[in-house]
Amino acid sequence: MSAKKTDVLVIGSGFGAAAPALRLSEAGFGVTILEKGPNIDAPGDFKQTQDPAYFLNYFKSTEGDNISMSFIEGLGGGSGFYEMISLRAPSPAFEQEDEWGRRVWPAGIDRATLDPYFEMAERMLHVQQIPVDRIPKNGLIFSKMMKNLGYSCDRSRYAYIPGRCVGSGFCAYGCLYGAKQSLHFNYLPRASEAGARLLTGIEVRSIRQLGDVLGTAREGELADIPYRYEVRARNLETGENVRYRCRLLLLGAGTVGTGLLLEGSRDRLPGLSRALGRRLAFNGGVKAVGLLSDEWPDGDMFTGQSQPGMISYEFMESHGVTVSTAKPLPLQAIAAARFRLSGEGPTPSHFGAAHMELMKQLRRRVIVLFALGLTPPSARLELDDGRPRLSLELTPGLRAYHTRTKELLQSILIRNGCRPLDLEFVDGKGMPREDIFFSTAHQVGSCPMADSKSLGVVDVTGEAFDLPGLYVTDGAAIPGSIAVSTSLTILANAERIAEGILRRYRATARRAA
Amino acid sequence: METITRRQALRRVGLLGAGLGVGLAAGCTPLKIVFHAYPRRFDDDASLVDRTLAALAETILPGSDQDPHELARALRDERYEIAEYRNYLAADLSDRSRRLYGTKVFEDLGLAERERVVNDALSADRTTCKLYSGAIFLTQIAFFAGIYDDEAGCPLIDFDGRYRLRRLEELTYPDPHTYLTSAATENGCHA
Repeated sequence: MSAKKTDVLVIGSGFGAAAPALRLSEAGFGVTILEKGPNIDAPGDFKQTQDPAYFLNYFKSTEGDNISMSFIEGLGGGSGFYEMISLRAPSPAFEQEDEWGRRVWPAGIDRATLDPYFEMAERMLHVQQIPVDRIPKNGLIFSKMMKNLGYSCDRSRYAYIPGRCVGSGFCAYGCLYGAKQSLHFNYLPRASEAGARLLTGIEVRSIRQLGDVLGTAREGELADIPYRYEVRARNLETGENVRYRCRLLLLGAGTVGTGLLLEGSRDRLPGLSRALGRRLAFNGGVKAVGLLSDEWPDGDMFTGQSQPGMISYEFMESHGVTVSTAKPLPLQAIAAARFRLSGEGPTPSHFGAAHMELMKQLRRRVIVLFALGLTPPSARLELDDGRPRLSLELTPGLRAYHTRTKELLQSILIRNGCRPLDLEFVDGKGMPREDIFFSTAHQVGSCPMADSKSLGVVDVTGEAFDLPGLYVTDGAAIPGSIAVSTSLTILANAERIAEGILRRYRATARRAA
Repeated sequence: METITRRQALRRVGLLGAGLGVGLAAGCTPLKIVFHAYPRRFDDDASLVDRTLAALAETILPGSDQDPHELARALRDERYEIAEYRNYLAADLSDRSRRLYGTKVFEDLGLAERERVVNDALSADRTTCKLYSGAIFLTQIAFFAGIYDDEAGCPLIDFDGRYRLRRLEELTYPDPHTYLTSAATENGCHA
């Protein structure tokens, strides 16, 4: 089996992969993109269905002690299935410190550094604030709740074309209307037009360095630099094993995918940092649910954008959280939690007549508040006998955060006359969680950027310590929680890393032309 | 009870333990499933199992206006792991009905009595609790999300199943400014 050769190999096709793939292709480098998941012809392949088989075709998760992390496997990564929220990481996120008082982010990166790259990403995705006359009912009700209490609330920002959005409420299942500006409509087709080779259904199994990579150049004409890395992959459709050799290897397989791939390749990458998988951040999501009192108008849980338009930064400084409202469709609601009316007593009523009555109110009278917070990077991702092992220690600090944040959300509901519902989160088989459990799709930091190899896996440029030419360009490189959806920050940082690569390396004149 | 060798039994116990995520120390329920230690008629009579599971689904979703046999469809759907244990589940419902009410026919019980039978199982050993929690979970998902019929959805909760085109006015309120409060930012992004 001979190895295929490419200047640049990009693993993954989501937010962290697509930007460097495009920028390097445009600059004339030979770029190959390998995506593990299936091809998605957007928007034609998306479906409005609650059949779990459709969703589970793309939606994957890994679960461990006190935490689960969800992600998408498919062309475009999470961009096809996220809720389009595109917010810049707030400044306080960059000022977080670890338990020893060290800044979590490496020197040289803060909000001002990233702002030009946020602008690039926003232009590409058509990011804009939701127009006032398009805010879904639940968003308006949430805003009015904040108004009643004297709090601020902002119109959120989305990667979409408002005129195409019909408010179907199926954002998390893929947008049939071409309103959501997922990577299928911008970065990926443009990368293909620029010459990038895009392959789906290719699972990368391992990476190895070819010889002494430490002695290779870190700048100059790329064609003069030897092939430094080889990946072994498998075509999931044909079962064929394939190998690729590259001069630059860009990992954009997502926080879980990139972390596990590197961990599984550790013995073939001797320079790899021991900080890998030690400090994942997860945006500490906390939820509270209430029933609207009679003085409130109806909401609508099932139509209008899944994330209904409004976000409050009121508690950013005091609690380190943002607060929004959510609109899960029935499958997501039931699969996540048992709802019960508070104070009903010990008899289980997550089924039967009482539960049926409650469910009848789900669409119009139930409101879900959720907070995302600057929780510390404290989850771990490891390989245990070849299998992923995820864990999160529920420290007193984390428990206090959860209690404080839940009380805040419940207080907003109660002071607006809502009746709180008991939420009992369940696992994938319907069994209640026994303790605090964080479910997230905002995981970052399995290979964090840091100032030194003892603290992180990659340096501020995204290049792995002691592994020249190997870059981590996705959420794995983001070192801390940001309290808002992570997609735009991952994309902006990937743009920044791509620009840095282009400052270091040149394509040959013939190819660039 | 079918005859299996000790080796086969050990292998199956291992598989079952992995499948349900429990150890045998949790109680004797796993062994009952492995050795089919329940009345043979539940393996032989599919209609008996179907009737019992339909009554269970009706208990989980009373007043649903849907054919109880259809309500229990997910419990028979081989795509979901629980279908493997449906015969045992029906037998266990029958056994608990007998112990609590003196009848082996779960579907003959009134709704309140059936609820008590289910609650009895939910407070039993961990494996039984998992089995019943899973059955409730899947039955509810199938019904409320309308997973078998995107066109129908779930009329009881006014879920359309898929999107029916609506006028913009239905998605929002005509006077949005009366709901809005002060904004903390100029453009929706925190500084």
